[in-house]
Amino acid sequence: MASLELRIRTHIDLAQLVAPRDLGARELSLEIFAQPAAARRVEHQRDGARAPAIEEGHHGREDSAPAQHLPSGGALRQTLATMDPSESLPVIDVRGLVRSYRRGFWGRAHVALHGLDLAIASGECVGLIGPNGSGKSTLLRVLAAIDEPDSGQVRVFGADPDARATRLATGFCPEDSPYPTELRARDVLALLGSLRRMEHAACERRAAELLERVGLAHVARERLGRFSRGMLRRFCIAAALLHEPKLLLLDEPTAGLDAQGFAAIESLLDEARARGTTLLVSSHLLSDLHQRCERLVALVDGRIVAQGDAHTLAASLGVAARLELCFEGLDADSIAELRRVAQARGARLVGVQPAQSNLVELYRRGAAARRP
Amino acid sequence: MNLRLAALAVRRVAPWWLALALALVGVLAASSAASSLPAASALARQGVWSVLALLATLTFVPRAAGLAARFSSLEFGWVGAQPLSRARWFATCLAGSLAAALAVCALAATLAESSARFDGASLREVGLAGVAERGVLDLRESVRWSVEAEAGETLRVELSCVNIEPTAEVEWRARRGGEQRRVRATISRPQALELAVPAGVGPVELELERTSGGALVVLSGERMQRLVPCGSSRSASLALACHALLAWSALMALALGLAPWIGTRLAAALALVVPLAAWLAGSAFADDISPTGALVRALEVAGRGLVPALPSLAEVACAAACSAVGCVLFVRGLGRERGGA
Repeated sequence: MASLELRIRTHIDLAQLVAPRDLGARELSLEIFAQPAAARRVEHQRDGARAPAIEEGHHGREDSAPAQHLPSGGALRQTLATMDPSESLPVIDVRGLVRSYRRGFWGRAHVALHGLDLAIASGECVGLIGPNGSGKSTLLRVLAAIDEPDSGQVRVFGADPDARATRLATGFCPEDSPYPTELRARDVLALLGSLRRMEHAACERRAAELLERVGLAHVARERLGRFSRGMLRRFCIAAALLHEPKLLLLDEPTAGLDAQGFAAIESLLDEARARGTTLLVSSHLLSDLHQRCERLVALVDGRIVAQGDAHTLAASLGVAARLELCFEGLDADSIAELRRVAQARGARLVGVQPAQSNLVELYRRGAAARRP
Repeated sequence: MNLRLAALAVRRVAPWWLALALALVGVLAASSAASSLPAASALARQGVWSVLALLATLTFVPRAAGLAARFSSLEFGWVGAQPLSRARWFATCLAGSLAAALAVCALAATLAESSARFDGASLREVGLAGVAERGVLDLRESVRWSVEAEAGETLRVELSCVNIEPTAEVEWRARRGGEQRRVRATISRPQALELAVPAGVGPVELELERTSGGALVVLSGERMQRLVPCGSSRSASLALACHALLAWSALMALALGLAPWIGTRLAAALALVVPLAAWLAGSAFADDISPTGALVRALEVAGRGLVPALPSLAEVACAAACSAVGCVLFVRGLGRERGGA
């Protein structure tokens, strides 16, 4: 029999975690890959070192947190330039974050984030998981300075997310493409580059490279309005990476992507990580996050219900009752045998399906074979 | 200012079909203007500019509102993450919108001047002066008032009559120091009287008298014009372009500012209702405070064969105030939803 790769898939019923509220059918599918590399965990220093306090950069946001002296402008740029990714300086420091929306005709307030506390160290890759409506996108939008918090303290690189230098150092990939649909892909990237004061030639080079990497080079002169959902997703990630940000906020980056796109994005994110970029990735599919992220943060109804690496998360939730064992290289007889063994032990084999990573690997090999 | 963002604004504010419409107006104007008489040329110029100004206003203002509304809602996901400040974002959008307006102005001037064949000397308006409060003249009655005016200027007053009898004779006199000028005319329909300002210093004393005839003479309007000689009547288009640009900048700034708060349609409607209300009010004061009041007046002046005055400080201040209001509304309203409940 071929070599086996053991995968354990655990189903966590989040209704157990937020009792007494009834979450109905909300279920988080959590896969834990039993690979040594994925098991490492970056110790997170919640109250770690902070960026130096500078009087002139004070931002007067009204919130419940005590007034802070925040660096901005030149001081913040200097902080960013000299920042060592290996330091445990919290790139993202969120305390007591509350964010609500008005919904419906009467504008009833809906609280999306309930006093969230989160700290992410420099160079760390953190995955946000949770069902739809759990507040993942809201958190990312607040960190990208697109939304403003109702209360609480949000600091990115030790400063307000609204600060110009913070925005320059942050790349955000929203859930749906918001870019002008009447513009061509390369023109949008040129516009974004110019807004971020990138040198024209460097911007063009980087844009061409990114479009090539995400497989959109052949449609660089096409209008975004003609792009499919998957193409727009790839484009959004290219746009977020254009200026090589030190912090990358990705909202459902792989939604709607085919395996080829998934592989391309994966490789780009690997490179970003190698440069020391801090990543915060949201997804409702843990399969997107478990390999890449050292830490997973589970959000339910705007609250963090658990965090840690994949193993710790499963253990802390105490939800190992339902498991899926995934094998590679099994033939039909072996699968039948497995089914019999499971039945003999009072269990049930739920399903047999190819893993998505196999398809990704297939595309990778195909692409490698095509290269000269 | 970010040129690429401004280019995006130009693209969104000036639709491709506007160029087609302008070309059509140009063809119609060129084919209908055969006369080289000053009055016919003036009317042709006024016609082309009026149509284009109306067309461009009804196009630019709603589209500027749409530009801001899109940035504020659908596209805020990328707009909000950019390091450009809101005020600069507004300024860039307004500059882009004005660039589109400038292109239309250039085209309108070309079309208007190609349809107006007369390019001889004319009179240019340099300012306005008040007229007597009591503006109805019965027989042997006269009205007196004084104005500040320079020697070499010409004063122009609009008269009309109530035809109890077909005509009336009037005499208009201007006196300064020992110098006196006078002009006599028979009034049978609305018409203008022009009188050269006497030399000297100090205020000019003016007297308008109905000397004979049975018609009741009425001083039209609340103001009279101060005119100076002008080399070519074609400079009317330059003045009209300046007025149009200021009017559009004010209206588009208001539309840009209102759209994030009340949406495209309401913002455009509200921005357009301001000049409409001022026009309906019909008073000089309403014209002064309306962003388009000076443009409408300039079009009237051009239709009389005169060259309109360049924008006054008050007109520039009005456009600047509208832009400032638009900017504040835009800065506070862009991505309004981000503020939360």
